[in-house]
Amino acid sequence: MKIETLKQRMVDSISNVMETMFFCVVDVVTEKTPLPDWFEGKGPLLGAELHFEGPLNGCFYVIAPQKVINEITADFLGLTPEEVQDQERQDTLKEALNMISGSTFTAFDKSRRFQIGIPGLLPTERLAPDQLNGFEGALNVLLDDRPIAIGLTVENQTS
Amino acid sequence: MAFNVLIVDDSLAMRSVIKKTIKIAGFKIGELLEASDGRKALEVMENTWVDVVLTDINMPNMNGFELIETMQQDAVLKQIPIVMVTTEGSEKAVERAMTAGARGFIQKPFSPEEIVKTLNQILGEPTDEDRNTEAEDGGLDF
Repeated sequence: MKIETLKQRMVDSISNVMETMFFCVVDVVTEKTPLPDWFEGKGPLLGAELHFEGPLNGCFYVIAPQKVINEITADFLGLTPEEVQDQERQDTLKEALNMISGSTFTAFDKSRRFQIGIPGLLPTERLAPDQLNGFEGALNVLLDDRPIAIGLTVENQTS
Repeated sequence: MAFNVLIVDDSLAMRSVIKKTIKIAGFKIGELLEASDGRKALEVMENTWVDVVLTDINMPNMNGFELIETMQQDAVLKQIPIVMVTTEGSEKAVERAMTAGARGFIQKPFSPEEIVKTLNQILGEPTDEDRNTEAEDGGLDF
């Protein structure tokens, strides 16, 4: 069970989900930029995480500026950005992560040995600039040229 | 004939997107009902007849598998067609759903066409008259 394969499946799933459901052009930036720099000047952030258990335990996470999530949510729900409510913004972010993780494991492990949890919001304090470097291995992703970060942490390998 | 459709998903955003997809497809819809988990879906069906249920699997309180299994134990509810709309796409998940009695299985992310195709199979394709009525009702306004 290779973690690198899982990560590659996640990259494929990001494109699949964001292009199919959110009609965004996805660009996974190969040159790594530390998250504090990636999000500098982009305003308050919102993040979500989703834990999984199985042959590997860990979690997926996504972090994005609230303004970007607002725009994506508006497009997703057919609203104007001004009409988007907090709950809708949070829900859209969690659902995007839910779909990315589900799509990743469908491609990675058809036999369904993984149990995927229910996505939750990341605490605000974990999104402070001095905390962002804690998200090791985050991918810098552009959605229609708007910055977000998506990553995967593996806590332990149980088999 | 107008159809009542129940959408069961803990994501408000996903329920909204499925609702819009159904509206734009032009089905003659009576009520588009919503529930955020299986338990609430059963409560909705206690009070309102539903022609088709679209349900997620991974939800708090009562998940989609538990919902379909509960419905299959009820003489009335077991007649209602159920379509799973879920991030889970494993062979085991599909097999469990279909064995339990699901009539369709759509994996997220989905294209609107997948929802429409599956509902066409269950409800029958909307007629031109249905589409015109839906357009007049403002269903295409998004």
